[in-house]
Amino acid sequence: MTPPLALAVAALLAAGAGQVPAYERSSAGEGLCQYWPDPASPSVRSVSYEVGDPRATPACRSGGDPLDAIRSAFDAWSAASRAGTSVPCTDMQLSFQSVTTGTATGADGKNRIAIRRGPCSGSHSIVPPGAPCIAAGTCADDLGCWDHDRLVALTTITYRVSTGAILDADVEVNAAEGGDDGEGFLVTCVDPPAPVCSEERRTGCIGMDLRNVMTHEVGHFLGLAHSDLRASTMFAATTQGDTGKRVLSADAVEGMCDIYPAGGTVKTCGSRAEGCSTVGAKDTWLGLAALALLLRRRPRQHTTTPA
Amino acid sequence: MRWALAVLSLWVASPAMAAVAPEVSVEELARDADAVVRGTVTSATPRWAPDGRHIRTRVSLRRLSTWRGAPASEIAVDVPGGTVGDVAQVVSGAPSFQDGEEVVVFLRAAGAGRWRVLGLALGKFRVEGGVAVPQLAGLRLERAPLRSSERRVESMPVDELERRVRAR
Repeated sequence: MTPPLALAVAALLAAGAGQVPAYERSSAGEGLCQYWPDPASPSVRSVSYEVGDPRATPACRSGGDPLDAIRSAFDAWSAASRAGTSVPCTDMQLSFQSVTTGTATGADGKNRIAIRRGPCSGSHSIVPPGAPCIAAGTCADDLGCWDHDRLVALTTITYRVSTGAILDADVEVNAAEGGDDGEGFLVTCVDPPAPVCSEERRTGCIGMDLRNVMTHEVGHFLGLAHSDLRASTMFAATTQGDTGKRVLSADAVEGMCDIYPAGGTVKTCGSRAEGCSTVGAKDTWLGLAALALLLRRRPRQHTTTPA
Repeated sequence: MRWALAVLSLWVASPAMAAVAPEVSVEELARDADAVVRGTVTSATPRWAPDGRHIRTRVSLRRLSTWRGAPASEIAVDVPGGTVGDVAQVVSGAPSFQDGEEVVVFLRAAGAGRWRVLGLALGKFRVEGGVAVPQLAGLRLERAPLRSSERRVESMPVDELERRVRAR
């Protein structure tokens, strides 16, 4: 690494350790990023969601309320506030609409949280043999089963290619305990402190914490991608018993407040010529300042100082 | 200017969304798969499903070798997500395929002669220069213990991957 590059890296690392850490946005391809658009006329910025009846699933049977866990995860993002203040820095309202019997996901204009209650295939399948949904590939939506094997949760986002504007978002969680070869998960709502669940201990313990999983997935729902920061709500790894992502990390707060600012317009990534990834404003200026310093130190470089 | 661009690249990336999955070994995946094949992608065609809510990409594979199961020489795999016109649908953790790409895929029968990839991105490796490379950027992996002597889903020589699948 050359001295200028080392200096720049050090400056950026220092910036990253500052008060406003970086956050990342989900790509919409070719330089765009995903975002919920502002309302067409001045009104409350709001995205509503409905929940397929979670109490009819195996989730949280050993304690706690799965609906409360899901709503708490959304509420954490609506209430995002920067350090030192309790006033939310975003006016995005994530509005719980209703509990429904519907289990369908996809582009239907309804943002749905679906806790899947059993596997769609295998010896523990909840799908009757010969059911029409098998050939149609619609059993997950029709019967509320989990059709993604060993995964714990996933988010489906439908968006406009030309702008990145999100049209629909859904989250599925795999509570199909009893599936083949451990493909289902013990989804719990037990508050810490509590022991981590194990083969021997299945109640009064923390397994795959629903609120923890949902808080992370709601970040994707809003257009955030993974962070490299280990302490981040959006960090790309978790463990059984993890409840640390229930509380928004500073970078997650910054992402929410920067993209959906109180009283401001939604922050897009501009044109396709611009990058999608975004960092907090202070980081950006520190980074640019470092570059400006380096460019001044290299007068023979055929460059211009950033404005 | 090259170094300046390098510095800029530190905070200009193209991150992906992610699903959550526990770490798994290739042997475990092989045990759960109805078929494991090495093949070449001949086409990848996204389309709206009949329900009008989901976009699925139909991936056609020409089988080069079969490591498990008995699929036909031409294999149709349905993958969630894709782009149709001005609408894109992204299912976090789903694998992507490109025309001409050489792959190893762990498959489950999906009825009506169709297949799907087992464990979404966990079940797809791209073969490049004798190395099988999984695309795991869309997955948030939960650390989990593996059986001794088994190897987690990660880059490895394609010959080793084949040996592990056949031995499972």
